[in-house]
Amino acid sequence: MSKPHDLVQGTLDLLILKILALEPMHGWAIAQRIRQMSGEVLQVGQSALYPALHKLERHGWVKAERKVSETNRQVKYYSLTRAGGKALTAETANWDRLSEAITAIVHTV
Amino acid sequence: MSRLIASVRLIFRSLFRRKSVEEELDEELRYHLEQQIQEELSGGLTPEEARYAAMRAMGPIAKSMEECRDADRVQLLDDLVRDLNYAARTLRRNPAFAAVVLTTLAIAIGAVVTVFSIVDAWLLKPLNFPQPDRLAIAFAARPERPMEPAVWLPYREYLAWQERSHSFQSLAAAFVRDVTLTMPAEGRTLLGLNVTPEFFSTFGVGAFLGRALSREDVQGPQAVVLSYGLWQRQFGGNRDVVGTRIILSSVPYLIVGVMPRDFETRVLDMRFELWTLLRPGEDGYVPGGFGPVSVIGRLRNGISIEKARSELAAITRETESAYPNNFNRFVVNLTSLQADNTRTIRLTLWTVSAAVASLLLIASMNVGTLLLGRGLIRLREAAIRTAIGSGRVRLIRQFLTESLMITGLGGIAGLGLAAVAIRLFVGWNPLGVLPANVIRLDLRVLGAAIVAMAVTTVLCGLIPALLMSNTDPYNVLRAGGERGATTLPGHRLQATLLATQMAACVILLVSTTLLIRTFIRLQSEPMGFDPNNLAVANVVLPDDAFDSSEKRNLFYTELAERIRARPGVRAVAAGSSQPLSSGAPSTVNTTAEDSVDAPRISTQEVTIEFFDTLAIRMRAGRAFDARDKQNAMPVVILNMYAAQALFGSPAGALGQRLRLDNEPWREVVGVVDNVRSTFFNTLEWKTDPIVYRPAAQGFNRLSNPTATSFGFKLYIRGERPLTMADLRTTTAAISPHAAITDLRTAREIVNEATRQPEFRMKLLVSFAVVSLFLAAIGIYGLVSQAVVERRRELAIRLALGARPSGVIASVTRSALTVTMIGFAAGMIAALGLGHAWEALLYGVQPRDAISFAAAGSILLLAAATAAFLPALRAARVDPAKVLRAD
Repeated sequence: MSKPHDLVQGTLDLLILKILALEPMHGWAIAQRIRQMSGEVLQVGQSALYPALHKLERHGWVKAERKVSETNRQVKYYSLTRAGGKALTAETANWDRLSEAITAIVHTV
Repeated sequence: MSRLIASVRLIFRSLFRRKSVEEELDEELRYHLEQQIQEELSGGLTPEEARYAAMRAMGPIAKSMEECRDADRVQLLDDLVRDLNYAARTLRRNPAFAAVVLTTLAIAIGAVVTVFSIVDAWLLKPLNFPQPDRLAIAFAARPERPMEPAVWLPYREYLAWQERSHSFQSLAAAFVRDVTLTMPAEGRTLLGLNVTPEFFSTFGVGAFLGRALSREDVQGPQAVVLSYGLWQRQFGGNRDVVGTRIILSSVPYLIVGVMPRDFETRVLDMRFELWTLLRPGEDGYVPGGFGPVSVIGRLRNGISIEKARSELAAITRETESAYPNNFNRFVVNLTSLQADNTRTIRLTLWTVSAAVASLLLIASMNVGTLLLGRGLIRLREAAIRTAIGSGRVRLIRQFLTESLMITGLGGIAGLGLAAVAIRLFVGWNPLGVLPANVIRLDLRVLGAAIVAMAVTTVLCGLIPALLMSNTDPYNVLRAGGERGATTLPGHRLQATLLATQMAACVILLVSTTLLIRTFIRLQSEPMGFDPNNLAVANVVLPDDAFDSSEKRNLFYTELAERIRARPGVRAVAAGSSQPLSSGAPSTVNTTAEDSVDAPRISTQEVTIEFFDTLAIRMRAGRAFDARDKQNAMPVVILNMYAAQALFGSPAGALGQRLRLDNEPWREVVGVVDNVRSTFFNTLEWKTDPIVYRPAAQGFNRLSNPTATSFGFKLYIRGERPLTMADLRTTTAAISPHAAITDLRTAREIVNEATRQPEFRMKLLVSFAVVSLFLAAIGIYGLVSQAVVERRRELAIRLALGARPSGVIASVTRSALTVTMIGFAAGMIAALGLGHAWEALLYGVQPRDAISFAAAGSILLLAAATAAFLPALRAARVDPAKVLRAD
């Protein structure tokens, strides 16, 4: 469970960016949202999630702020930066091309 | 760009706000865990089950925390800071351990740095001249010791070489001369070098002020060039001094220049304060002349010393065979000038270097053993960390960081120690001579320090670290608290380090005892005269005031009478040589015809009281007395060696006749005991044949034809020797021209001769003590560690009725085995090293049984004491307490 086998390498970044484009949220919520939105198909453990978040932060695509959560705790909220928005557009385009390509191969008889 | 800014911000944040970053990370993960548990709970699990489920869902926490930091990519730096913090904390938590380890390393690294800075200045750094490696100096040596200068070369050799040699770009001759500066100063004796005009161009150095000596100065007024030091001291650095006159040994000289501050031309380790010209035509310095010189040359490009030496030797063989009394009994000794500069101390420098290197090895192995010992105690911690997924590399890194920190701190302290030690060394000057290059902490020395620290780190950190990280956590954890003494590879490595340390310690101890015995032999050897309660003064009589043997004798008689009247003085005498030197040689013929094979034997002129005053025993015949006057029959006294060599036996020598150089026949009236003298710069006493002439039959200058004064030694025996001021007042009352230039005790002169072996011995003793102490700490640590590790086991054994002696034996067994192995290895190595020591020893064989036995028992005693102290403590513990505590 430490690595999400069902996530293609690099797609986790895309998912995080996509979800954060909707609204800023904390790590736990991001994991939950991915699960919900994928219809319980994609499960993201913290061991994959937080390194990914930190990497995106270092790229300058997301930024973290400490806020009070709904359960009244100090929590880090991640939000998309302008650079992150651009990256999301580029990554989405990449993904489209990639998935088309894979689909094309897989469905070729 | 934004990425760069973000990275920089993160790096800064993780460096300076490390704590908060760690906390955030922790907090974030904890929050995640709590949320997960909440969710599992709402799924209907019990709190306990929910917690486990959540943990499973989360994966290994330690690992993900580390991965998060990896994602920050400031990991390396961050880890370093963390590891340093951790290492500092462990050091602080265990101040005794820290103190021992840091002191050990500081002393070892400090010693290495100090010795390197000294050796570097002497042997490694080039001399301060242009292309110094091409400068060479020549003397004559005896065939059996071709590398040790024995006598000066005759001037005619220099002339022949200069005419016929092709190996040199430039050749100069130089001879040492004592001069007395009487204007502007009051009778100061200075050491000067009398040189040919090629001298300064051979060195390729010009004057700092004025000009150096040149060919023009051979004609015209006598010229002198001052050293920078003399110019500063005597003339206060006054630039107007160039062009003025000074008086040296009654002769006026024109100061034409001052040499630069770092211009030092040494001959046989002597330093000179002024340079004058050797004027061809002076006594002995004529074509075919025998005037003594050393020859200094600058080799042509590409000519090796060996090649030049064989060329000079060939020229000498040819030219000398034309002379009767030729110099072919000697061989040409040509060495690099730098090598000549280190003659007296080279052996000492190498000895000290070897000793200091072994000290560093011993110290780092010692620290390695201690660190490893502590590491083994922490092995469980390490195993647990490996088991929960902490990376192996991290463990090695942490161990390395720790040893780096220790070495770094030790190294810095060592550099501080070295800075102090260098100052002390220069101030104390234990070798009796300092190098021409300044001894100081410079970049080269710093480089050496870094190398020393690197060696230390590898020895005490890297090897143990690699080993530790290779341990299988499963084995360690399964072994639990009951780890046996030798089940872990760490123990084997520890034992190896300790045994090596022991072996090195044995070698150091053996060499130390050999040097101690050498020094005792040197000190206790009968000198043939009694050096105790004997003062020796140097009296200088200028030729213009004392131009004959009668005047000199008259002066001495007057002086001796006045000194004898002083309280505490028992006897006074005079002689032409000082203790331990045999005197200038004369050709001795025992037949009417001059023989080609006539030996050259040292001669001395001595007053009537000489043998009495020095306590030299008469072996046959009589001493000199009032009968041996100027116009009486010329007589001599021989020492045993000369009597044996010339006439077969002491008794047989009495009444025989001999001729010295061109003198008339002299009759042998007595034979005295041999006295000891020294070779130049070698570690042994020798006995020379000596012919003594009565001063009354000629108190004349024998050597140094350029000198303009006559010097003799005044010997005063008594419990309360006179002070210099006393002696000067007494002398001045007789003649204002006479000068006293030196007053020492004979004991000081003897000690001076054994100074190098004494220094070597003292230094080695201190190193041996330190390394013995370190070895003892190692053993002590090993046993203490065994006691801690096996506390439970030992308590059970004691509880079951084991005897304390059995417990002691079982904890000390491994330490004693290690000692014995190291001891045996060290002894074998020391036996094998035999030849390396030979040059350092006198009167002691390199495989001297007493030295080996003494060194061995000292080591075994120290090791046994160090092993039994902690073992005794183990045997005295209360088993009940220990078992209850677990």
